[in-house]
Amino acid sequence: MSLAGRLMNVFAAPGDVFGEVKTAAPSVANWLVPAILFMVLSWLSAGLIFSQPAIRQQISELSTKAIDRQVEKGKLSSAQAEQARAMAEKFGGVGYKIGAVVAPIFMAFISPFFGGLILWLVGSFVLKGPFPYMKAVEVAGLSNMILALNVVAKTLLILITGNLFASTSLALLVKDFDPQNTFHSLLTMMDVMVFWLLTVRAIGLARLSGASVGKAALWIFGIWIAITGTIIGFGVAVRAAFGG
Amino acid sequence: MAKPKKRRKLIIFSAIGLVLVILILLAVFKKREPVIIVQTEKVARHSLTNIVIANGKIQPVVQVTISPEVSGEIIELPVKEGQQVKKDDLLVKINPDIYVAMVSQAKAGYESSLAAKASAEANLEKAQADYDRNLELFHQKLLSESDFIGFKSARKVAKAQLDSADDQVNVAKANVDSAEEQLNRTTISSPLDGTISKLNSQLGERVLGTVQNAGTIIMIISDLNQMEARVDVGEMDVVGIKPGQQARLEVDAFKDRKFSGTVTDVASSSKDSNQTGNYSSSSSQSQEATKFQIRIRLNDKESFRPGMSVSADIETEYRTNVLTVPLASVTTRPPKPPKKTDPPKTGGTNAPAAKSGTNAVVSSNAVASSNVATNSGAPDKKSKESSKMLDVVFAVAGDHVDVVPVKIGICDDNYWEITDGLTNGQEIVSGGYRAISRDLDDGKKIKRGTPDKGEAKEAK
Repeated sequence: MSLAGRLMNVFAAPGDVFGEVKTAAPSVANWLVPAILFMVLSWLSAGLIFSQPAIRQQISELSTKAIDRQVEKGKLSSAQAEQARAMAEKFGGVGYKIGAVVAPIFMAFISPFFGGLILWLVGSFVLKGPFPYMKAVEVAGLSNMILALNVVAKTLLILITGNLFASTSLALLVKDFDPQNTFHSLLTMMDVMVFWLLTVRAIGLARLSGASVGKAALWIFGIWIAITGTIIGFGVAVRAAFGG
Repeated sequence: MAKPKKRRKLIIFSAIGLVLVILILLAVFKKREPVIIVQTEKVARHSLTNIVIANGKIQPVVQVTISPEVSGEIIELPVKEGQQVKKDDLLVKINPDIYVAMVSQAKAGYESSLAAKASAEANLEKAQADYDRNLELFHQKLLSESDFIGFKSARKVAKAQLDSADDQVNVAKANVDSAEEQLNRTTISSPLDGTISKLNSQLGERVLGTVQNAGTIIMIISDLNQMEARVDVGEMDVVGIKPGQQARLEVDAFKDRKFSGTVTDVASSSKDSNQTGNYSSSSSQSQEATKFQIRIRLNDKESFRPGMSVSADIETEYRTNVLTVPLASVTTRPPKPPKKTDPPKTGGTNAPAAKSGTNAVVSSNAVASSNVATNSGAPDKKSKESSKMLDVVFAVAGDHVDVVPVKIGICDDNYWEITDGLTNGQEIVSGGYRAISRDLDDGKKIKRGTPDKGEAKEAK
């Protein structure tokens, strides 16, 4: 199977792709190409999204709201708030743009290695089907093609709804999405693309470790729930501590 | 085995492709317009006091300019600026030497004329005696007629000379009086109790009299016990101002204090017309706003000084329980051109504001156009009417706004009176400033939110 075949078939026949990856010689392209694709698509998406006046307005509104909250809670004086508003107006947009450029780089390269680490740890030590770490990285990298597709779908949804937080998750059904609302955050986790990604990774883990897909999926989803729960819990704790 | 796999792949790729194509089409064809954050309020009833705001200066009600009637050098100036003076107090003395000499000269002329008159009287007495004696002789035919006529003429001449001498005496007397008057005018006394509010001249300075020219303004005396604000009001506002109306005044020098006053006088002609006396004056003047001076008598006593800056809120009208909207809600928009397919409308009232804003604007414009159309052969007027800006507010209709043309009445610091176009309780946009003045238009999407600080500043 060619590289292009592997990249495409990961959507439709991931078992076949990962079966071949297990037996084939190590290939950097298996994780590097999806990573580059993800990066490029993310940058294009950011360019498209930030060109929308409605989105720019939303970003400025978010900054203003955050500052207003601080003022309401007495953490900022009106003079400080005024200063913060001026700073947000001046640098807020720039901050978002820098984030949109830098974040995909980290995401594209951390995801296959961190995802691969989890697959390797679970496969080698829990499912007792040892395989090289780089094979796990290739599986995680190839499955990141779904993340690349997610970028496209998410961008289109943002453009359609005019909502910066639109995604393929249940949060799409929320009219006034608030990123600081815990329930809304939970809804964003209910993302069909994430579930697809996890399922594909579970298939990859099953192929590499020789375990059943169900068992592998149980571990993958379990770990994801644990990590997601920790992140949300951490967010809640931070907000509680700092009154955000 | 390969066939079902191929089929499965085809189905999955087709599904992904279909979803992406649908999303792309939606994204491309969706009208993406920014949602405008606004603040809203309900149309409500309030009592309004219409206030005309005007700026000007504090001035004394009575203010007298002191100028000399005779020219000369100031030799006495016993007052200084700010000094209080009583009526008839000496203010200025001008060197009287030349005027004293003029009096002496006039008196000498008078004496001379008296002597001339005495001589003329003596001449007349002699001529009369000659005439009486020769008249008898003439009746007795002892004197020729030609000799008698000579005596008669001599008497007449003497009489005329006496009359002339008499007139000369009167002229000389008048000269004496005039010279004495001139002399008296070298001393200037205060015409009123007051304060020297301005002193322009100094001791030793030569001043010009007002006999044949404008003269030198030596000083200004003001009665500071009665002060008034002289403020300028635009021609649009002046028609509503009448003597007796109340005003609240703020004098810059007395921060955080408000004074009350009463309008005492409204200028009947503009300041420009006073200055130029010509309405078609230079273009620079015609570009300036036409202002009328209003005088407001201050009811409160305070140590006001002439020339202090004052801002006056003149209460011109008061209405109770009228439909109102916040001041910021009302803005202007050009009328939308009438649709060609619209049937011509007649009648005098505007379309109901509850209908869609577009219809409201178009129909109100249609009314204007139809009215103009009745004035046949007035294309200029028609174009002017159609380009006239409309007063509008933005009525909230779900997640968007409708432009509603309104008729406004009076206003106060916070509200406009709405005489037509809105109903009580209707939700309208009251902020932000940028949204109302620029961004909002018929059908624009809105979202209720808190005012942006920057916008609030801009609105101020």
